[in-house]
Amino acid sequence: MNVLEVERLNVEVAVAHDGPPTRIVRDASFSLAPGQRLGLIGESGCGKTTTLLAIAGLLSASATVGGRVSIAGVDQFSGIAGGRIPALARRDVGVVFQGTMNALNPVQRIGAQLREGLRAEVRADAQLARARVDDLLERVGLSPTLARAYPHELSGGMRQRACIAIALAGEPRLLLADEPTTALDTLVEQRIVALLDELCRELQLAVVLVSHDLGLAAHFCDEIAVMYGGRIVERGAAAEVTGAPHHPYTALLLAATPTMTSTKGQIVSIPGAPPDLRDLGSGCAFAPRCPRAADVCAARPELRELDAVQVACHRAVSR
Amino acid sequence: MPTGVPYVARRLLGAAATILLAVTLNFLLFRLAPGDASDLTHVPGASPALRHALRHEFGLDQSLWHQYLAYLGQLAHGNLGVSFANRLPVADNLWTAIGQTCIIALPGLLLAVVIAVATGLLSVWRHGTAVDHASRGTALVLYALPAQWVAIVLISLTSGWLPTAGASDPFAVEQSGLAHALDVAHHALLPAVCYALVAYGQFMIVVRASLLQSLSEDYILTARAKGLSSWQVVRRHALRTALLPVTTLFGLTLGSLVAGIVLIEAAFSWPGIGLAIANAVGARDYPMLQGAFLVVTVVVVLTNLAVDLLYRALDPRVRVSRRA
Amino acid sequence: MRRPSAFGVGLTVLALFCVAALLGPAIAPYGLHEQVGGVFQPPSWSHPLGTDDAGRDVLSLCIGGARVSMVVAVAASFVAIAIGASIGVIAGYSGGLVDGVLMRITDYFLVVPALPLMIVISTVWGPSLWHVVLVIGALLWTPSARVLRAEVLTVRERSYVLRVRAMGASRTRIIVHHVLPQVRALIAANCVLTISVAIFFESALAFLGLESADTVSWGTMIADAFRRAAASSGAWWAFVPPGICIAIVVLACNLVGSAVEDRAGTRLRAPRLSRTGFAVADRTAGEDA
Repeated sequence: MNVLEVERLNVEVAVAHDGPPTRIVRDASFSLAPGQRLGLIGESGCGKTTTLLAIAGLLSASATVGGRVSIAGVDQFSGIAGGRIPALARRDVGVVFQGTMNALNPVQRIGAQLREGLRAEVRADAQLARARVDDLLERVGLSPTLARAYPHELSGGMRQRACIAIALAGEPRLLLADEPTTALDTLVEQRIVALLDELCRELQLAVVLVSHDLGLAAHFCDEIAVMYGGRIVERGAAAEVTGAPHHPYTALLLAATPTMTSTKGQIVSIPGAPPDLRDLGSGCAFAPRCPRAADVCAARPELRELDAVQVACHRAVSR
Repeated sequence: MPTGVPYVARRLLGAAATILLAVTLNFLLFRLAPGDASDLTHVPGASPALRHALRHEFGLDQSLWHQYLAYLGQLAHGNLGVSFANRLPVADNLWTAIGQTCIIALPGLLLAVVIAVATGLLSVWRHGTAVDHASRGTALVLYALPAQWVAIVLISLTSGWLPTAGASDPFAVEQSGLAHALDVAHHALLPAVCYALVAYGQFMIVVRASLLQSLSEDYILTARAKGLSSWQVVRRHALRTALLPVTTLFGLTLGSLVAGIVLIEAAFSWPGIGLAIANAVGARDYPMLQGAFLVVTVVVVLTNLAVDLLYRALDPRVRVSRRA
Repeated sequence: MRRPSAFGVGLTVLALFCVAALLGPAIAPYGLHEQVGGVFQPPSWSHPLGTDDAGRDVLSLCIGGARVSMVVAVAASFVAIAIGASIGVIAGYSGGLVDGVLMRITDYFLVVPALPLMIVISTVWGPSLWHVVLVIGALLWTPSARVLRAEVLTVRERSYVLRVRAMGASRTRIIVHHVLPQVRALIAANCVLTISVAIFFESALAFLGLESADTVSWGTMIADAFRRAAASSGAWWAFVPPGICIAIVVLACNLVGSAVEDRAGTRLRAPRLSRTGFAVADRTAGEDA
């Protein structure tokens, strides 16, 4: 059975108080088997973080979701219709946010924040809970003495490790990571990625990694979904997508990504700005910025199978 | 500011400087008034000789600097002068008055804070709904109404079934201790409620804004992702971080809280420090006015200091940066 | 149809009250010192808000009182902004010792209880409307001084200001032409918010008898009603209208002030937790918006 199934997920968010809702995520579908890793890639504002929050059940009251998300076979949205916060299967999900930002409560000790994430039966036994907190800290490479520290006493990399520990505290089967290494310096980033890689392999975790960094995703994930204007525009095995991109946007993203090996190569930036989600028009959202745009692009392309990947582009050709 | 000096010492020095500034201002205000203090006593038909004697008696013929030092000397001995109105030492009058003020101010403030936190929480909890708009609207309107007006409205609404003036029944003689306490409580009820209403408005607005701020932080998402119940998220993560800054904002609203207590005591003839100020204005009782202003300033400065130190003791972030 | 903005509502209300203040006696049905009925007459067709303890028409008093209350508040607010802006700009632009001293003074005025100090000063000076304006103005300048100083500190480091400074522009010129235009919105917001505070203090000083007796303002109306026991005689119409006038002006000022402040930058915050949680769309997924 798949750990995660997302079917035609739609999310609308009212950005201003009385403003009309804006559709942030449009018809996103994907699924993950145990241990499988998916990278959600795109520029800021493409809907990747909103997708992640929708899966985690963490959207705010201004959001409206449509479609289906099921985690370990449990439908996540069925309980909400009555206006209550649903009893989500959050135990099966761990979420890692950008730890360098404000993801940790500044006035609570690390240990207390970890303890809160433990399963209820573990938390009930004080001794077991303490042992488990120590164990989690060690697992992410932190000294157990840091349980008594406050977040501001930790460096950015240490805080990110603490965030990972919190995400793992509930013994999840699915890990959702939102830009887990953004705002860290390169060296620390590599260590954190290595740590995540090791832990996920060890615990057989399915992972959704949200990142703007195609290189990181290609290295870490089995599969990659590129999002643009709230839609998945290309999806396939990481090697396929980054090896020979079919969608012009993916190709440009790839060209804009500096890799470890070729720092000398010229970095291309994508002309134009990300689209205004309030006003996408009826055609391909990327067409205004696309070097290969043509008349057909006035109609919206659907995802179609091409070679080994799925791509939503009229101009994509088999190779 | 020298960085080597510990924060607490610096804050204490600052508070002392503020109080000294207030003392100086207090001294100058009454000395630099049009005419001098012997005019202010309004002795009708005083002969030049009598005026001269008065000036000498009050030391007004000495240089300003001498007068200032003499004034500081008197203050250092706790001597605030003698009230024109009742011929008692100002310090004694004020001491009794402060006690009376506490009887209505402390319960009033406590009530205001409790209701403000409760409704602030409710308002944020139902952010953007009718409940939110209603409780926020109520707070804004209460904030916008003058304290003395709220007092008069309360008096007219309860006139007849609650005492609306004074701190005890003037006709009750030889009450037992308990009966007297009950009588005072009965009299204190309306002014305390009035004070709570007046203070509530701004507290609620501040609490709501602060809660809204802390509920929009990223760590709320982390807490929710752990699967905590909503109430647990609010109690453990939002309330604590939200109420910390509220303690300092409380210090900043002190000025308007003082204004409120003056007006409310004047309206209810509650014999606290506010009524002392109001009566001193009517009677042109300068020593009382001067003393009361000084005492109020000292109380406000010290409360601010206490609130600041409390904040630093409660917030781990500041605690550590002090060590660093 | 769009809902009217808070800014628009507040501004309209303020404009209405300003018109009342300007036209005052001309649009009031009766004179301010004219006895037109019995003592504490309840509202009637000829006197929609009843009469006060001297048989004067309360509606006329409210309209006429708007003049004193608004003029005092606006004038005091201008005094406060003038002092605050000068101190803030000078402190922010000079830096160093001048900045330090000015900010210490500001700190002092920020903590000193304003109303008691106002009471002391106006008692010593004697009751007069101009004293009230000056006293309120002289004590409400701290917020604008702090806001402006902070703004000046950021503005003066911006490249174009550095550039004109390098070109030899004088300080005054830089402040007038480059700094002030940047902080105009903030000054305006502060000005409006100060008006609301000033109107409070005007009524407070009037309540304590620190305004001359023949003045008619909302503050003195409330004070008179209190002194003549309007509350215990059930004559609510004598004190309710002026209080509501004050509340409306204060609310309008806050609407306008915070709208301007919002426009100047703070982002809309939405709580990340609420009772309802997010909603699930009823319609079938996948259709286009």
